[in-house]
Amino acid sequence: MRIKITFLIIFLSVSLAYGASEDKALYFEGIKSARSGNLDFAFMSFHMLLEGYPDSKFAPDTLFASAEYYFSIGDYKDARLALEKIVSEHADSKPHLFAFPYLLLMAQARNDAAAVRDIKKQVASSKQLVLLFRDSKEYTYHSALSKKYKAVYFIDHVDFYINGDLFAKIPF
Amino acid sequence: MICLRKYLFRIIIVLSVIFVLAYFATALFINKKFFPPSLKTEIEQYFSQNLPGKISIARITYSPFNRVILSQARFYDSGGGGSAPTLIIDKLKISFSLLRFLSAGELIVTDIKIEGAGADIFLCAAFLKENMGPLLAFLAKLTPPDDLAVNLEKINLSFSLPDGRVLNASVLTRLRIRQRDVLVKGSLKIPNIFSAGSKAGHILKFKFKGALESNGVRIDDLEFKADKLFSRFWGFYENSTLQLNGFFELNDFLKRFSENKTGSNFPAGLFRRLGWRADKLALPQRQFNTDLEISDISWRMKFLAASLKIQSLDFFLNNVPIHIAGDVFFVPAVSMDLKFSSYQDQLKQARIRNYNAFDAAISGTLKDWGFYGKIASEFRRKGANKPSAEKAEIIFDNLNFKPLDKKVLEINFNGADLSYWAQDNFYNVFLDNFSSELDYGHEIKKPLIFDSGIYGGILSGRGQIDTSGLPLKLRFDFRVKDAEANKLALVLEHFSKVHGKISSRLSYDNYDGSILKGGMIMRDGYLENFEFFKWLADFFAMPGLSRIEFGRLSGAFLVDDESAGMDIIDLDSSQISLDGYFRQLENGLVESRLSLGLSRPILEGSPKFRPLLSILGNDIESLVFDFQLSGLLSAMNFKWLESDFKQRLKARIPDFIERAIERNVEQAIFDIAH
Repeated sequence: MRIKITFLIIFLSVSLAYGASEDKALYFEGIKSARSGNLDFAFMSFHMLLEGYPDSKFAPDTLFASAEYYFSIGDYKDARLALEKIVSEHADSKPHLFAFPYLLLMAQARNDAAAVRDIKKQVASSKQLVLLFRDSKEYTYHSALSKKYKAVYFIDHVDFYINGDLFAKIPF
Repeated sequence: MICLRKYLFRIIIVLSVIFVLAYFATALFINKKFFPPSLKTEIEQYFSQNLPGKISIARITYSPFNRVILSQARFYDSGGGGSAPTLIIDKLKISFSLLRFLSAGELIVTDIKIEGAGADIFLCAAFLKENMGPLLAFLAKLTPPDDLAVNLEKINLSFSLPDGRVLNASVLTRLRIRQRDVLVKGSLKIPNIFSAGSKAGHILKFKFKGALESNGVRIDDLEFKADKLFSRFWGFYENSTLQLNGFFELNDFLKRFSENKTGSNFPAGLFRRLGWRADKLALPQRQFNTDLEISDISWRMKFLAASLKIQSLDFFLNNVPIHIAGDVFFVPAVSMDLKFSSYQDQLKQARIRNYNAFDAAISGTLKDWGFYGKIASEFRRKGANKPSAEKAEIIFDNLNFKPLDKKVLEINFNGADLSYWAQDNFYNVFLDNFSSELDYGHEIKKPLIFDSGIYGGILSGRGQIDTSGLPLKLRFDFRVKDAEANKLALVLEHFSKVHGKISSRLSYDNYDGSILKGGMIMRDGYLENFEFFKWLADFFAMPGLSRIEFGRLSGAFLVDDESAGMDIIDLDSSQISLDGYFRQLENGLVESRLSLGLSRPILEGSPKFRPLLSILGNDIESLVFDFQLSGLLSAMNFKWLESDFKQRLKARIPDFIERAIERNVEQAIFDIAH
């Protein structure tokens, strides 16, 4: 058994060293930078990934991480563009759901009532719930910038948390 | 001195006798020589040969020194002299130039006076239309119109109302033609159609000033004035085309204005158009709550053989620009095809954002005072979220208006097919034998009562139309009794699955957004393949839910700009019970809480519920599920709310079974929804 595990570890290491593609390398480099607190370097890696490999399987997570970065530095225009791209082009991705609380906050800040209504509708229709014995259903996501997201779906609203803190509440 | 006076008196007596004898001798001589009895026959024959209609004259007499009197002239249409005359003139007095007559033997007419005439206005119009050309040719032969006066006195025009009453209008007119200039002044006394027997009525004064041109008429000033009406036009008539420009006001401004003696006699509207300030002219301040103001009229229409072509009619109606074009046909019956639009000249993008912009059309035929045809309108309405392009259309079968006493107008139709398109929704309802009474004597709010047939039932109600501004403010309360619910499917889609007689009480107003609310009740009907129960039937394998017979189904509903739904639903059936509310919001989302009770026979028919019953025990007669719905109508979220039954069930099954059930149900719902 021990021999088998050792062989597997060696095989994976070789694969990582020689078989890993550049988009993957950039993605993990960004994650590494983010974990060490170098958000600017992390963003640069993600930006290079999106520029060079827009169709990469890491694109949705990378886009979301870029949006998080833009939002954190107050560049709401680019944050919105990145989040809207996730909503329109990556509907089946994990970060898709968590783009909405950011978009909602920005729409509210702009006093764009139509956008607020539209976002609430999209949130309400993004999951079809069946709550027979529970009161809510949770969805989680760990972003590339090392933030832990949680969406708690109730029958008439959703609570969004970032790192355990309530970030947005969207009724519908 | 006394003798002189006596002789002078005798001389005067003798001269007077000679004058009278000469007068009568001259009259007799001229009558015999120039106006023999055969002349009457000749004139009648002339008209018989030259006019489609006929004329008969009782007597022609000469009245010295320059007047001929035609007594009892009767004009008949082409149907012949056997029928009643379309126009009767008691006395037609024609004066001629004595000098020209004596010197050259020419009969040059200088003055025509018509005293006492009567005609049915419609028959007379038909007669004139048929005979106008030959009559003008005859008149032209008699008189080169270089200086002619025509007086009309004691002229009665009658017309019949749809209810058989005959109203009489009287006309007093003086026409003067000098060289090519034409001046017409007169008044028309219009009876009050609401009290045909009384002498009450309105006086309409009119004035025409213009000139005869080589191929038409120049219109310098055409004015109409009445108590609350003032209008003025100018333009020309040329080659069968009439071009008029002007304005029209119908309000109480003139009355208020006439009470203020410091101003001029012109209406303030005219001053405004000329750019003058009312305060400088000591005019009363203009109030813009007038009923009707039509300004900047530009009207161009062409008279064709059997139709009237309105090439363009542009005006401002209470400051809203309106454009009308189309055709009015007179043969074989009066019919029309007219198009209306507001803000027609506005750029397309600006017009889309303008909620006062609309397009409308009227096409149909008038038969026996009834309108058979279509009225349609397209417009954009300000929705809660975004503008909504909407369209309304009514196809009428015999729409007619009948004035009653006390300023009440009766509006009836045999049938009306009403359709309404709002975004992607289509609504349709058919009303039959509709009758209503509109009390428009009230200053601003006009009450209306109505009743009608609706799908085997009765629709009745009352309401009011507030005309203080545009769009009109409406408020109606109405009741529906025993209508066939299934046929209301195009009013509310869900009715396609509902069978039975429906009775309802509703209210509608558009004061602050449109709100339709009310309650409904149905007895002894059934629901067949109703979506929600069909879903339950498919999911839980309960075929008994495909058709649910009920003793009573009631609900309260509310439809406004933001939502539509049943606020209280109460279904009482031997198979199931249902109460709660269901609302569909304007953004397509659903809000609902429902309590559904399923009877034991229904539950036992389901292989999925049978095991549950065995867990819960044999004493259970029915199960009640309280649940909440949200999300999109096509993919609703579902929450089973807390209840005794749920608690008992939870107590009997382990957690991992709960999660498995939930996963299975979620997957099954997803499969059904997709």
